Amino acid sequence: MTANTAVLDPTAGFGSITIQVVVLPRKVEKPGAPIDEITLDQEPDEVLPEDGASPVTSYLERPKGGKLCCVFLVNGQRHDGLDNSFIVQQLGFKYLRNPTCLTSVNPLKRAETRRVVRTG
Amino acid sequence: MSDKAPVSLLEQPRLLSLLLEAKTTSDLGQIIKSLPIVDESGYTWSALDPSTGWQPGRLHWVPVGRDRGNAGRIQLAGEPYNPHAERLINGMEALIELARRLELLKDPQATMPESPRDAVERYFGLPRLDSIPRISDKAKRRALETQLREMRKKLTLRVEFSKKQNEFIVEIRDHGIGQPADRIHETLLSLGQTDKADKPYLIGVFGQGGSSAYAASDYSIVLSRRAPECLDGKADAVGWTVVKKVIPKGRRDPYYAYLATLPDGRVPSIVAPPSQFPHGTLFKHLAYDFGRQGSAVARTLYYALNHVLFNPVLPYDLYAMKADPDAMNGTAHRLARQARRLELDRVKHLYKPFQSQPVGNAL
Repeated sequence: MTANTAVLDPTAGFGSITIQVVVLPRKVEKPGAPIDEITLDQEPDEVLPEDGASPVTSYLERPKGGKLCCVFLVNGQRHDGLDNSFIVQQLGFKYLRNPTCLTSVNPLKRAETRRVVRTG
Repeated sequence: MSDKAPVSLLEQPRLLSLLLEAKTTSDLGQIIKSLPIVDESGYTWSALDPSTGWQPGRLHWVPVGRDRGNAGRIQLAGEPYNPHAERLINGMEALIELARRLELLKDPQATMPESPRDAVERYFGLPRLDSIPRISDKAKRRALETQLREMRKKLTLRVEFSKKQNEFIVEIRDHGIGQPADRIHETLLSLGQTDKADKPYLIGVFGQGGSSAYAASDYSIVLSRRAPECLDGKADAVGWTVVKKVIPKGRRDPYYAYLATLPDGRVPSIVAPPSQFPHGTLFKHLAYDFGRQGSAVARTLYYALNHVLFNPVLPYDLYAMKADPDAMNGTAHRLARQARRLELDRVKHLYKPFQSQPVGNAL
């Protein structure tokens, strides 16, 4: 075997997973901007529709919608994405659903992402 | 009066200038009119015998990937932004592959980089791009930012709009290894073929990501020149072709075809000085359909590309309908820079990278 031949080990699994979480502070409200109303009858697992901009909106795929705040990357390229219902329902961090952006390197391993973030 | 036959545009050096300057379908239409092309009704490519009906000395439309049924795969993406991200990835790979080939010329036993990031660190001295804003050593951070700026010049995406024709043009240019003219049909114009699968330092595997851009364009011009150090005895020339959608008369199966000069699919080439077209590859997509108009495209493209290439292994420049480029380092870099700013301003936030963990086959 020459020195520059790649060796793929079928038992090696899927490599490694690296997860990163960014939570940004709420943006300073502009004078005259509407104040968010608090929903008093919200169920524990209920995800409210997003109307306004969240602190991470400008970093997300759609500037107006700002939906895919959990992204799964391979070599830095997005291969899959989830909206913030993953943060509420899978991670159980409902108060962090708006200001959080989460990246993970492996699109196949959502469960792995959940485990690492919950225990990290 | 001279009895010499007029020299075809195909033989004239000015053809390269015309291809490089073409900005609209009308410009390209003029070029195509002046070329000796056998149109679709005069020649139909067949996988079994492509030379039947071939007229030597003239150009013919040959299916991309030499696959008559290529439309399904080329039109699969159905989304106008992602093919550009795929082409940018190809450009990054071309830059890495050139560096790898130069390394092997110096040391034939040099081991392969283990991953694209490993390659970028070894050849260009760049770490993960999102780690750069958080480097506390100011001198080191500035040196890396300078290196980022230099690297960006080697890979660019330019979008322009012709008001007269109401058409977008998208150009993706890399100054990487490029392809020899006689291999363009097997590489840049192939579908589902790849020579990257055994190279862990490259990114793509399936060999067709960027081809969806053909579906959103009326015409695409492809030009490529191999880096002089990597010619391996081949002629130093610029290979070129044009890709378009062919709708055969009386049939329901359109396909995408390119101009070939030989029945085996090889494309024509032009001998030109490197100053006119340095090594690397250029894809020009004419009358590109973004599904929307005007400056909204420029704004959307910035976000869409930064999100798809969230933390790219190499940076690139985006000229989105303006003379000055936007630095495209990925959304992860922007987030890291914002977190750094908040840290300096002592504003409460969280920027938490978890330790890398192995992932097994079973959950």
